[in-house]
Amino acid sequence: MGLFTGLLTLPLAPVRGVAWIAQMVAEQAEMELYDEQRIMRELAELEMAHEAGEIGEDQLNDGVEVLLGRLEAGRQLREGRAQHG
Amino acid sequence: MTGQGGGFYVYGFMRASEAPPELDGGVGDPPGVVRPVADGEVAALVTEVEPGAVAPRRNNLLAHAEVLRRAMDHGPVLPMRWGMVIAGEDGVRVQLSRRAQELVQKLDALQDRIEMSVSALYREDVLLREVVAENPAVAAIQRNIRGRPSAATHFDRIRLGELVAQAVQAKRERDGHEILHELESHALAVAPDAPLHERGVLNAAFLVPRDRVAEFDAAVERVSRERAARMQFKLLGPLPPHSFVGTR
Repeated sequence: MGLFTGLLTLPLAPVRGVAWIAQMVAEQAEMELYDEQRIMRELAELEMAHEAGEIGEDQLNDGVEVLLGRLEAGRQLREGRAQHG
Repeated sequence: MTGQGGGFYVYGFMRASEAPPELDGGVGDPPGVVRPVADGEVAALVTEVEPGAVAPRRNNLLAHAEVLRRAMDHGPVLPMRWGMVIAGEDGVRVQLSRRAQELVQKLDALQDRIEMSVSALYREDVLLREVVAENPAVAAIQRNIRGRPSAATHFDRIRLGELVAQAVQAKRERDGHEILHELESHALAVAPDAPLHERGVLNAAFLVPRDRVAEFDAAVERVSRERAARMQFKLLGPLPPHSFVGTR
């Protein structure tokens, strides 16, 4: 393994565009706020801002919490819609 | 949450024959144990969790990624999105059997292929210096603004912002294209995405055969060394091929 590989394993790539599993929750009527692609992208942007020295560790953690909270809220909303029509 | 038994947090899927019997460092606090739940040829990597126990926090996001990364040492992995919990071990098996064919196909397609993620940022001081040097209009507006009260230069500053953004975009297209071009010959496929930062040059995922990872690594090192004065590179990987799953 080269010098770079595995040195900086950050978490954000893993959740990008996993389209094939998307049917697991009902995906219709996406609201922009809860759009998963968008949230994942915002997560990656946050991580990048942290790396660029623009935000600190606490701000990064808080921001991640807000975004993941939105992700969950969106899923619950869609699940609820799928169950109750 | 309905159904009997606990919730099962799902990280991703592997061939049952290759799934590691146990990994530590799963989601939860303290970190949970990761184990496979198999049905036929495929297995899900799961951690049993209490309902609502996987807090939407960064440690759990990191754990998800880290489990997938370590699982890759054992064989191809299909990553699941973060935060998916299935009720009951039987519920996991039902999903596996429903998707068996698709999962096997995708795992076969990923055999010996991994993802490498490359991103680069312009160095701030260098970027500004280049933009000013290459764009006389930017320099002119800058001179015009200097020393005047901000109320008097409102529209100049808006114009300056626009010009700088355009100039950065043009540079990004040129530099990003050049870098992609140099790296893509070392990969099977490339999935470019928009940069993640205003100083971003590029942000792209490459699908690389496992036995060519060292070669790809060396190519990124060369490309980044040549541009070290102007850009900072970041290489992540090997990762499960998230950006390529489902594309073929």
